[in-house]
Amino acid sequence: MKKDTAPAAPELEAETREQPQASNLLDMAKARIVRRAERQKRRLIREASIGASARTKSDPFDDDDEDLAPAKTDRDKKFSTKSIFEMPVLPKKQRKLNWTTISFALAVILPTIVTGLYFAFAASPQYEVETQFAVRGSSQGSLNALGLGSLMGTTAEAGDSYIVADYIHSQQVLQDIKDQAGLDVRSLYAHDFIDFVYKTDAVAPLDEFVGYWRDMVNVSFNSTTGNVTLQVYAFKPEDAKKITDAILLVSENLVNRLSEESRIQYTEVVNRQVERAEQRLAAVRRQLSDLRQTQQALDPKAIASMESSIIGSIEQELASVRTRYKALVTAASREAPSAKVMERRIVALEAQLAEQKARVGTGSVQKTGRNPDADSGTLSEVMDTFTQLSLEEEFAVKAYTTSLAGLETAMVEAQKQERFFATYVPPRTPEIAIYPRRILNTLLGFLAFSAAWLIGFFVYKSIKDHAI
Amino acid sequence: MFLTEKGFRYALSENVRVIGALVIRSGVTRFGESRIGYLWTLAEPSIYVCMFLIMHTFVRTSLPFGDSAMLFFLTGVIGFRMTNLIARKAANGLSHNGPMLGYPLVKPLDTIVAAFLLETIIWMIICSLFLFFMFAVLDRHIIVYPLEFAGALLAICYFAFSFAVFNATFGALVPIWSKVLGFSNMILMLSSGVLFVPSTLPPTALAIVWWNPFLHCVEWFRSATYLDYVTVLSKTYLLSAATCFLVTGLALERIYRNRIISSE
Repeated sequence: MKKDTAPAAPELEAETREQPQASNLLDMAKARIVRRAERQKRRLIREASIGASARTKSDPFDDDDEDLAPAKTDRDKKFSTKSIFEMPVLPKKQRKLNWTTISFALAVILPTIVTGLYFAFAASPQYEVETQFAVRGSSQGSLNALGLGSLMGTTAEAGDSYIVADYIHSQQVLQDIKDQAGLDVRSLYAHDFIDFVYKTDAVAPLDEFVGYWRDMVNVSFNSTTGNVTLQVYAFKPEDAKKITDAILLVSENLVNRLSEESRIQYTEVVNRQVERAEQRLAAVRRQLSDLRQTQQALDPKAIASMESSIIGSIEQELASVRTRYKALVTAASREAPSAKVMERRIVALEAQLAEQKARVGTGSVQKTGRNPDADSGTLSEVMDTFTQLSLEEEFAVKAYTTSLAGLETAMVEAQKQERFFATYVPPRTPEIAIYPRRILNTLLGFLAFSAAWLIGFFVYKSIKDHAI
Repeated sequence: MFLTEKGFRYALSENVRVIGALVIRSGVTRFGESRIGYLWTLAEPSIYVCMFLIMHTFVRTSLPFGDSAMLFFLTGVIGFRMTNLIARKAANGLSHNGPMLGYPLVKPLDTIVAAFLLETIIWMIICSLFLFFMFAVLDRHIIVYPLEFAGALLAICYFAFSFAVFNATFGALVPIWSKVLGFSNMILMLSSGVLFVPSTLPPTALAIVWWNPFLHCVEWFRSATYLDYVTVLSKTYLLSAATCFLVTGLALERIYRNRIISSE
């Protein structure tokens, strides 16, 4: 820039340093006159010192229509074809053009070339494995299927899919892959052939590695369909497949565990209730059987009916004997031997009747059964206990059947809660490396650098506009 | 031409002076005589939130996200209105300062920058007031990711400025543009996820709504205020959209500067 215009440059700088004091038009005009005189003086001195042979060129700042007098003298003295040709080569203008070019080259061309070189030669190929799976339950909310889930809140399956999606991006998945699949993911991203941008440390702490992991594993959950799409990037096709398989394995384990836990929790309460009802029923049954043991009868009702039929037949016989006795007494004397026999029979029958009635009625008379020691009371008392117990048994049976039905429902419900981990697009070993998109990325880089440079350029220009 | 050949530092100081003066001028004249207008800027988002809260109480649907309806709506409303109003007011800066363009030292871009700075300052105050209010009322941490929050604010400012530059220049060249923007205001608001969580939308709806850059502003804002917010946020999209607007706007301003100045 300072090749053949060396003398002009210091002057320019001197001027620009003076400028800021000029704030209004009058001052500016004054300053300009002063400067012009100064310049004139300096040029005259210079010309005198260098001599006529020296190469002089017209100062660009004299190319001003107000500047008539010096220009005239200049033209008189130095007018030549040379000066005309040199005029357009204005130092400042050339420099400005160059600055634009230089900044463009520095801010756009150079980074683009570097980016292009990186993508062309350095960037390691990345293999992508895509797999799709769903965490499905047997029941699907109809609202959710209509896509209204967002308005009504989400269902449990959506929750489980969210869990899986979040889990895949968590630190835990790395630990689980290591434990369950026996695969240390970090070592797969620390191969020597991987380029310097993507290479990681094989012994990097998991806390740091998880950020890198999130870059290399994309997981997106579609809340309407409940499908999860998983994309894994790696630097070897087998690695990508291996990692994807490991992720699917640990995710399935997670889903199974969650499903099992939810099922257990669902049925546990009902199971406990069934157990309680069972115990209650068993207790009542035991009491009943105890009672039967002591009464030596399967059914107290049968005993009762037997007793009453005995009473009935005794009364019937008593009545007929009494009738015959009365007839005999009126026909023959009371002292007849047959009448005496009948009288004795009546007395025996009455005694028997009283005894039988006592067995049914009040407990004052001892039971004259087959086992008098085991007696616990009169027949009506036994009947009372028996009725009470059978009522209780009835309730217990009802409670038990209800709780059994509840258990049935809970089982069905738990079955509905069951989650299936369904992989419908299984991972496939990639054949070629699709990523990085070398040309596209370079182009994008160019666009980004251009945008940045353009903004800088416009801002610079816009600030420069205020220099008036 | 040679009169413009002054140092860059001088130009910068002049520029700062011009913008500073314009900021003060816009600040003083923003609401005319009455200073009550400043209260209105504070009341407006509150009214919006109250409206949503009342709607929510009457309709009695389940909450879109989180446990506090107020926090959800307030983050949405502030996130959206901050972006939208900074962009709109900054774009209006060009027409409001039309008379100032008569001075050769005042360039169209200066008016936009000045209006943008003023609106940004106002909205930062509003935003911090509301955050403090929420902190006091809800008694919980509002900003869970401070760095993310600062990033969200910067991104919102960047996008708002870019959008303003584009709207101001394009609107001055194509007058119908500002009307189109005015009409689309409601659509933009409804589709930007103030009332719902975009990640729960059906994919077909999301594919359309996703292109709304305001949605990304709201999502960014919310992802900094919730611990486990599931976003569809694409920072790359938001920033590149903003950059596109900015470059186009600046280029239009430079190419059609005279037409823009004369149209005001």
